[in-house]
Amino acid sequence: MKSLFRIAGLWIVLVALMMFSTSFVGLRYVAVTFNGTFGKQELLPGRKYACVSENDSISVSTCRFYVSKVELLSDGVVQDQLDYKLVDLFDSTQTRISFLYSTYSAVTSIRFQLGIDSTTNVAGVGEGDLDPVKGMYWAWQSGYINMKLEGTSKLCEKDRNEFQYHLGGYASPYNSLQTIELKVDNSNDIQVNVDVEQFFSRTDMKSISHVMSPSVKAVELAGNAAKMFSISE
Amino acid sequence: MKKRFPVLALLSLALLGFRSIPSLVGWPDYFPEPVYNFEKNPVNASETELGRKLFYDPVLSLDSSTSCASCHSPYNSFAHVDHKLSHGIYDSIGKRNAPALFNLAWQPSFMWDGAVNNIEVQPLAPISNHSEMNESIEHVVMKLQRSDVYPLLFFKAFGDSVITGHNVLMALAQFQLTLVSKSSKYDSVMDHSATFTAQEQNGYTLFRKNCSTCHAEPLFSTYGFASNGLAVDTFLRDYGRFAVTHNAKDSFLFKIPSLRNVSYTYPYMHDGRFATLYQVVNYYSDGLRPSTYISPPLKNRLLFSASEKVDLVAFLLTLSDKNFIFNKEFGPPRREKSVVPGKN
Repeated sequence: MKSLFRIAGLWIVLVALMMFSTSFVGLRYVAVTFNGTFGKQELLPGRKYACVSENDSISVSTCRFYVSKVELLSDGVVQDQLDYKLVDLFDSTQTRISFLYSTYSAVTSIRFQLGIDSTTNVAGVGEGDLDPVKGMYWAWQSGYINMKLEGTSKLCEKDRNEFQYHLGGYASPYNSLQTIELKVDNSNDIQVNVDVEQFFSRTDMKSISHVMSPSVKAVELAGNAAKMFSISE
Repeated sequence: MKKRFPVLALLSLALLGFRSIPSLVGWPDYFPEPVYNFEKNPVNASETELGRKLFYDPVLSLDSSTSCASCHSPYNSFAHVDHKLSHGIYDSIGKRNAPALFNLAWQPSFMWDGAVNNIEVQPLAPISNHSEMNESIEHVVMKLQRSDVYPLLFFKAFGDSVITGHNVLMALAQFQLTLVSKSSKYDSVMDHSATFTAQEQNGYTLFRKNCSTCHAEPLFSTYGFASNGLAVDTFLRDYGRFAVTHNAKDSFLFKIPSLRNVSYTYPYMHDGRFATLYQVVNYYSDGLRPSTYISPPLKNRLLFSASEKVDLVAFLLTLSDKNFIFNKEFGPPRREKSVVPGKN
């Protein structure tokens, strides 16, 4: 019994010390949140958005993507890193990454890869967000799907008005991994805008309504997808 | 408190000893180092046993009709004898011959076209293929989680009764990695406990001269890709590795299969077009036609005489590993009461 008290006492002291040191060495939480938009409007599943250039509308049912090697930088120096996260824009529990940031230096930019790198792609089966049950893995040909963007638009009339962009591919010459770096104004609450209109306006949806394997098209569209990301004002 | 340390230490040592049994995967000195990283994922008994149960369980298919072993029978060195093309649920027929499974730890890629890059993710291909198991790994996990037996087996193997896709695939990989074929007559000759007959020796000499560039010893494959000039089946229209790389240079290339256990794995070739070993030898000897896509070692016909063909086949029979195909550790697990809910 005595030893139990002793352990409890030690525990309390430790916790207190940790809390004290947290404020002392400048530990703070830095959150990165991904928010879907269509132009200036909030992106909601199934909602139709006017598509100005073609006098048509687009609705999105799925927008999921991997971000990997997510780094917080201070004047070009990496301060903190997270290996990977599967973001689902339509699941508010899956849009946020938290860092326990441990230095005083300001976060001046955030850098991440859109997708999963080749090392991870050849390393066998993954766990957590990388588990193939997440539906972001190609079965017939090894490799992660870096991004799934699906929905409907009359632009895709030859494909029952549906589009399915499964963008991936890790091996040359069809490596579709994108690296994105965004400037941040020392914030603990980084809001990343994911504007799907930036993707659609660059993509010829009439001729390409679906991409389901590593290919020239997948690489091209992955480049368009990288243009969706910006920091919210 | 002090007294507990030795007990704990002993217990953890015992547990460690139980969890990693290196002899589960052993290989002779003359084998090269495996490609698979056993240090990262050591093979252990409980995961292997679970993988074996999964391998023989049709629960992996949509209608619980087809298991891995349906097309990969242990008695045929895990190939599908007498079936040109793989079979699946609803009597569907696939596009390629089900390959034999052994020495998988030495293979850098899987499937006839090398579309799969790691043994751990290979089962995803047949599980999801519409003419094989037509299932999804998500649903397999759900079915296993609902069963009476699997949550406990996963707990024993992984310390967690919550089943994940990762753990299903790791267990299947572990079982398949233990399938090492290393005790054929050829192996006995290599370790000097047996000798070839004069005929086998002659066949071996012919083999080394004509075949071993692609079917390199001691695994009897480089596991690279090659075209042996077979005319394209106009029904299947299978262009091999081209489908994976979209590179014209890879047209008609298929993975070089190992010739170990070749007497058990008929019919032969990626589409099972040859029923016997003699047909295969005849093709290489007399049937090769000049083609743009044929791989360089086969630019010229091999031209074996009738007696040379017999000798060559005699040598190929020394690659049959009876201990492997009759190994009880690799066969179906003992039947237990298994309650698996129907499809949902």
